[in-house]
Amino acid sequence: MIEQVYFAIFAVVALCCALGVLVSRHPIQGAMSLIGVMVALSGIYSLMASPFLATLQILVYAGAIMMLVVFVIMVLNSAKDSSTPRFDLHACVGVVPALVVGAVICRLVWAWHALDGNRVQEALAKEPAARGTVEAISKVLFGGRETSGWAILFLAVGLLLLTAIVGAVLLAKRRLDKPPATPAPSHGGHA
Amino acid sequence: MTNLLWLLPVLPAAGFAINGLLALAGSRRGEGPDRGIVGFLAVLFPVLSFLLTVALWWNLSEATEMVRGQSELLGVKLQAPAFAQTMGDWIRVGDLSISFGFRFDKLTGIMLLFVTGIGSLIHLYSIGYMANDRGFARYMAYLNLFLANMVVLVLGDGPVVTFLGWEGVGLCSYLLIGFWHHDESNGSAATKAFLVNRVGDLGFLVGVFLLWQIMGPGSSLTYEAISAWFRDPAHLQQLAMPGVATLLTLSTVFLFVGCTGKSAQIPLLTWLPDAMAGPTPVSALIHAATMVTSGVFLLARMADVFVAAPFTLHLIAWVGALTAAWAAVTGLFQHDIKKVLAYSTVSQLGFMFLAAGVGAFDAGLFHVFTHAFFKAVLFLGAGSVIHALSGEQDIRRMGGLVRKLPVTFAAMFAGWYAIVGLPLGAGFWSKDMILERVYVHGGIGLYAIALGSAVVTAVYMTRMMILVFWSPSRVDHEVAHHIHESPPSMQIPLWILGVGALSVGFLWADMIHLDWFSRQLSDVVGAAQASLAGDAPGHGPSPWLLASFGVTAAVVGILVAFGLFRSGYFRENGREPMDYRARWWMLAFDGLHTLVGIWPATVVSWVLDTWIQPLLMGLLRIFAWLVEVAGSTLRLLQRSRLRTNMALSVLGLALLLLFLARELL
Amino acid sequence: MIFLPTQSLILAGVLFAIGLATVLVKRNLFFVLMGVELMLNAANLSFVAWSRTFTGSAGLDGQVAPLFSIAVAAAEACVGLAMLLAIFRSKETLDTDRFDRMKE
Repeated sequence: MIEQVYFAIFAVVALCCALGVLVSRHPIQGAMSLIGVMVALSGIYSLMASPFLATLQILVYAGAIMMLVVFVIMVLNSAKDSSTPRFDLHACVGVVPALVVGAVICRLVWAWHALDGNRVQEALAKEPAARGTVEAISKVLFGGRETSGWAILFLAVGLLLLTAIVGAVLLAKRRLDKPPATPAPSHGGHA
Repeated sequence: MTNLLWLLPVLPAAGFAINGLLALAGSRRGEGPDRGIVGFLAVLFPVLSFLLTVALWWNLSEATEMVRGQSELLGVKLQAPAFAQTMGDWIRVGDLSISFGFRFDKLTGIMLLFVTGIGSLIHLYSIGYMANDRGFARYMAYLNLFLANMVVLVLGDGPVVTFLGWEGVGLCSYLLIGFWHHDESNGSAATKAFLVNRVGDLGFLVGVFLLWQIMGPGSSLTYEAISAWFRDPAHLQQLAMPGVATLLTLSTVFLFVGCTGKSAQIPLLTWLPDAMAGPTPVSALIHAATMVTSGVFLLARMADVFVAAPFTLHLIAWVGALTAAWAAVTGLFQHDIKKVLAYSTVSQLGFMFLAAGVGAFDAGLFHVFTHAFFKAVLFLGAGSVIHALSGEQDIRRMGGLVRKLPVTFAAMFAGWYAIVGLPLGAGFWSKDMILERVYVHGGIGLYAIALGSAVVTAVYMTRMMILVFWSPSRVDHEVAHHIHESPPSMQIPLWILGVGALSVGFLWADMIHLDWFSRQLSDVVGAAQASLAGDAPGHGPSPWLLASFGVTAAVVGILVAFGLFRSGYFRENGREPMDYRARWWMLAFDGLHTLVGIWPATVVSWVLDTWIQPLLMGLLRIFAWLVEVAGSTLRLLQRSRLRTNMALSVLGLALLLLFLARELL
Repeated sequence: MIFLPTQSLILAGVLFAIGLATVLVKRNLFFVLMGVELMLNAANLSFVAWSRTFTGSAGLDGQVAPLFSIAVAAAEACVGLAMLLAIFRSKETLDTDRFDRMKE
């Protein structure tokens, strides 16, 4: 029962923050809202017996990734861009697919629930799902005596991160011959 | 022996190929390839074909005699032997299975004997006649090709194979009429000949199609099968049914249309006089002796079919008679020596068709045979005259050549004697045979027209002979100095054909009981003729009486001609009084063709050009416009704004998702 | 009574929709990136929710996937931001409506 309450709180926070991302003007506002979403989601993860994942979410997602985003926002300091109108005709075109997709997903989930929900609930009542503790996850991740689990993928992801770092450095490197763009607010307003 | 039949057309075809290649190879040199080689080869292959034909004929005669002996022994009528060779399957579509094959029986043999024989002689003649022509090799090549196609026509074992040769000779006729193609009028004459022939060919094809309909699917469309089918009494009952009878009449009428096209009968006859634009040996070979007789040949080949359609036979008889009369009168007004002979050919062909129409197929074929000789000698003689007079063809500027060109005169005299039907000449025997049969089987009307035509024939032929040979000379002085007799290559054929014109008649001199010719053909056309009227020639008036009518007609005509000449009616200088009337008379059929053929075509083409063409272009433009609109519309999906573009893509994806999950929703 | 996984799944769907809307509606490139992050989060949530419907240890695989997803998201955010920097440097603006050099 208490679960439901917690879930409700977290869900509402997540939704509000997500909508906040959608309606905010300034990127910083959006970033903050996004952090709120991630924290709320972290809570939901822990509600669903995934403590490791919840921690990771805060540490990596909210802590590292969003920090990076905020950092870049502040570096660019593109305040002027927020003076553009938020919603125009073209926005409406974008909303439609989102609505359609969202509706379809919800409907599919509902259909699944109608079909299979009771059986799953009963099964879970008998034998609950495993808790995603560090131990359990690492057992799955790195395997045991017989299997190697997801170890290779783990290493691959490490390699991926390395590649991303190198790529990012290359992309963002300042060309020594080109003068840097001055982010001065001298550009006029644009439609 | 049978499996050598394929050589008969292939030999002249090889001549065509070799001479053609020589012509092409020598086309850069100023003089063209060496005339000696080309001439030798050009004559060699037809002669080889002729020798092979003789050998085959010999073998066939022996075989026939053997079969005759056996049937006498056994008391049954055994089937006449024939050589047949099938080269292989040709057309195989559904029920239709036609093989490409050759058939050599007595009818084929006779036709081939004079086709290859006279063909060889005319090839020889051409060496002399065309000696100074730049296109000598090309001419010889075409002439060889013609012979090859004519052999295929005669030798074919079914109407479809015959049609192959039929079309081929039409093509060669076009090539040879328009041989001197730098003169545009020759080209027009050639085109006219080809197109008129084509109309006939269409009739031929439709006739064959309808025939196949009648005989039912599954028949192999060979002459043997056709004859067997039509002689079968069970099928005769089938043919008595009104629907089938109409179909048969239509089929035979269409086939006859094909014959009129090829043999220049009414209404498809205007091409033959214009075809005189070609070299004279061509006129002799194609338009006198061989190609134009294909129509009669076809009638005889399919005699069993035609006797089952009496209406068509009546039609053929009347068309033949009227053509004979019309052409004879027209020949009276011609100035060009070749045109006189051309109209004479049309008239004589009319006689042949008349004979076929009254059921006397063998008489018609006999006239084909004799006509080949005397018409060929007349044409070759005319060629000799033209050659001697350095190209003069107008008989108003000839005359007095009897002393200057004795050999030519002798040959043409033989031809003239034969064609007017004076006693014991070839024409006497064949034409009188026809007249007799017409009297007995065709009735007084046809006989009267035929006899009248015979009279007019005598008149215009005698007129020609008078104006060319016996009248005082009106030859241009310049030309008169160069008058010379023809070289040997031209004289030899004249000699041979001249003798032939006087002697071949005796192959079937019925009244003195020489009937070798008709015996040869009895196996082929005898059944058909027997199934028609049952009258034996013994009934009716005595043949001697009828023969005397024929001779009287000839003599009357000759006397009329001399009389007209004496009275100055053929005015030598200036225009003859009947000129303008003659022109209208001649143009009648050209006018008919224009009315029936050219005006409708002009109207149709105008309609197409003015209305259909813009309509179709409009349709095309509509299509183009539709595509343009569709393109422009689709282009709206590609936006310049990033987010709109993405939104539209994702929208598409969303809709796809909707579609895929439609059952679950 | 709807139980937790289903509710989470519906929440995930809604979050995904909102993330998608953000990507398609906003003009600022930052927001596009943030929308993508939001969508990834929604996907992670759905992974976890589904893994919750399995009994025993069978669902633990469903919790390893978000792990990798987060790692990959990190890499992607890194590279994306670097590109953003590069774009800003050459274009002087982050308004996607101004990126229309391919327009006729």
